[in-house]
Amino acid sequence: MNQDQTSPYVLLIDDDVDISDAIKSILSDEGHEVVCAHNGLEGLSYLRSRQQKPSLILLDIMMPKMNGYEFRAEQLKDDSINKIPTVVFSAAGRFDEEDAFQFTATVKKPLDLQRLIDLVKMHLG
Amino acid sequence: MLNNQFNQNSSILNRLRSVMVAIALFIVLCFFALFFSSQGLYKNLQALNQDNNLLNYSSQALESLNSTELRLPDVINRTNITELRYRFTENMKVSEKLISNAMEQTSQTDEVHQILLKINEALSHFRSSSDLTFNRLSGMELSKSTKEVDEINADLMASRQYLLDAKELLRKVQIVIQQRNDKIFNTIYKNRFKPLLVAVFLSTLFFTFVLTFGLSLSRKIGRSISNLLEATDKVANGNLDYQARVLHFDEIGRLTDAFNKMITSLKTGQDELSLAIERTNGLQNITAAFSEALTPEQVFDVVFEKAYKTLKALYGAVVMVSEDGNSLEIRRTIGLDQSIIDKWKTFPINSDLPVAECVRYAKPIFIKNSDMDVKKYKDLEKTDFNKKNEQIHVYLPLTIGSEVLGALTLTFKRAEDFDTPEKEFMLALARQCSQAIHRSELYDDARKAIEARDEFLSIASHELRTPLTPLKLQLQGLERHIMRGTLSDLPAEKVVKIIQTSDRQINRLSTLIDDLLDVSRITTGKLSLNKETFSVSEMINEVVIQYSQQLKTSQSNLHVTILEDSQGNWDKVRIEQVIINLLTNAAKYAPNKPIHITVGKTKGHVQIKVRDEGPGIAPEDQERIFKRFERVNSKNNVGGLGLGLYISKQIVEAHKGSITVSSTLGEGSTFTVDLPQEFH
Repeated sequence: MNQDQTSPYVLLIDDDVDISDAIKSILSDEGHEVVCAHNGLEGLSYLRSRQQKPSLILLDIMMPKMNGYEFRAEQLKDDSINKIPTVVFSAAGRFDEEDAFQFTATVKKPLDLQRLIDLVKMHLG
Repeated sequence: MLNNQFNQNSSILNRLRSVMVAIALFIVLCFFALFFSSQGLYKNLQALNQDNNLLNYSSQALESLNSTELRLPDVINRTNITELRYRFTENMKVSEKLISNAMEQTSQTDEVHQILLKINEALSHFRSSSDLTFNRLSGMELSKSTKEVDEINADLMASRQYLLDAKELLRKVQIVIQQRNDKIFNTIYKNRFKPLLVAVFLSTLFFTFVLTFGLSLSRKIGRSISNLLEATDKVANGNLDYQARVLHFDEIGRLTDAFNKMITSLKTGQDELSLAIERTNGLQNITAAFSEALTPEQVFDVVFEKAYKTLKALYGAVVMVSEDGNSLEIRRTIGLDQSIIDKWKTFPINSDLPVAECVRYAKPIFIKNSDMDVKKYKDLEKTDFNKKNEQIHVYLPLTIGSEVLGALTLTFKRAEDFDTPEKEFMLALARQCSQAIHRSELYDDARKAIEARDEFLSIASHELRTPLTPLKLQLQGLERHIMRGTLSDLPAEKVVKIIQTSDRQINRLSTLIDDLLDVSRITTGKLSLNKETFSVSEMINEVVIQYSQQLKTSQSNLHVTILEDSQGNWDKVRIEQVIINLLTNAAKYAPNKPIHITVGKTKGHVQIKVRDEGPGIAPEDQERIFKRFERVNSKNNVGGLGLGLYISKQIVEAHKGSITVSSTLGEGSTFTVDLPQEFH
């Protein structure tokens, strides 16, 4: 976790180290800054502790401690962070109550890399 | 009472019979009356006829008397006196004969008879004087002297006087008869309508009688019939409670009575029929309700809401055989005190209770409180069975084929036994109930199986996709480098990392697939064991070495304690799989915490304990976790198919061993694998 982000960056919340490493590596190659959190709780505390908010949140669903839905519910309650576009990806094959969580976009695992890069580009410019 | 009255033979038929006899007697009477009334007429006609004969005789007699008259010139000039006398005598005979004939026609009391007697007398005088004359004549010469002629003339005069008397008397007879005839004619004429009048009178009387009797009888019959008709109409319109009044104790009365009896029996029949229909409808309703009941609990709801109400039971219970088959559990009650329910929540299947007997022998039991049978159930004293009177207790077994699921118990407030249709109805109800319970259990099992399968498919797809995601990402990353021509810029260690990551994902996938194959083998009964004898401690050490790489990532410290080493004759690969499973779980649920393995031995059994210091498992979850697709807190976000413990349990049980868990929340869990050293 980088301590001070000044340029636009992506917050990636996924418990699977292999996945987050791969995504981070690829997005870095594309020239995007990526910050990783390993569960919802970690992601939430990171968001709240930073002045500079990420331009996009990439969110996994199945995670220990706080899952993606719980994270999103907390995020939506917090005015300081609820405007951040949030893209959800999960292998669950279903996005429960998707509408209620007002996700910016949903991406199904295994991820389509091009679609992911396009989404990041769109929000980070 | 009625029958006695009917048996007194005062029936319409008898009355009609007596009327017929009366009419016959009446006709005979009429005949006699007519006979006697016409008898006078007959007598008159007879008398008339007799008188006519008399008149004939008398006029003939007069004629013959005229010819007998002796005239003087004839007598004097006559040469042959003998011939004259002969003719005279013949004529006299005729006259006398006629008179005597007439006398025969009359009775001595008759006036005519007296006259005829006098005529006879006169004739005999005439004859004797005429005889004198003929005697005198025969003594004389043919030429007679004047004196002689005078004497003869005097004789003739004298005898003529007698003849004249006789003639006079004959005329008198004629006059008397004439007068009498006139009188008879008058009488006949006067009485000529008398028999007619009698006949008319009698027939009038007869018709009046017949009409009066007939009318009264027909009115009586008519009233009875219309009374019966009224009853028939009422009954036809559905009023079966109407009873026709018995007006007279005759045939129609009997008919009415029979009609009433018929209606009563019809009503009884109809009551029974409507009861049967009510029951059939009830059963249909219950069946329909049963078919909608999906869970056993819903079936019990139907039993109480529909069945018990239809049967009007006081109270009852559904008692089910427990899973182990050793006890009975009250699953649902109605109308029972909570204290009784609490006391009898479960009781042994071999209790000396009718309900237990009903289940044990799968036979329905119907007993009354008052029955002596009650005393043979020793455990009944412990219930409140004897406290209430006039009750019938019914125990109906719930069976599917030869399997007894449980029993329905019902208690009714009634003194008399149930009849066969009632019992049949209850048995039908029990059958429906058993089928519904059985169906609901099947449904429940199927639903759970489907839910578990859906859950499994969802988890399986998630678990299979999870390793695929980084794998694909790595490949796509490489592809992008190739496209850009930056592949050669990649440092060697990064390429190695990509390959290692990919390799790990492929291992994850292959483990998942192995697990799925194991489940498939277990569920199809094709889990085969390759037994070999090996040292348990050596096996544990091999596992620890094999697993050390994984343990590093979860930063768990593994502590192995061998209390007593022993040999095991098991499928080594499978037992290793069990231990690795337990270690993986410990590392997964209690990361960064020490894991303890202890190996011990008692009585030919080897115990391998794997203890973690993780969050622990709630008591309610401890049994569940060994089932297929179950994970502690499935909402929790620990990945995995939830197959590890299930597969482990199956493997251990295939070795005739057991796997158990003991855990305290917040302190950790201990899984104990207990295996017999040798098994067959």
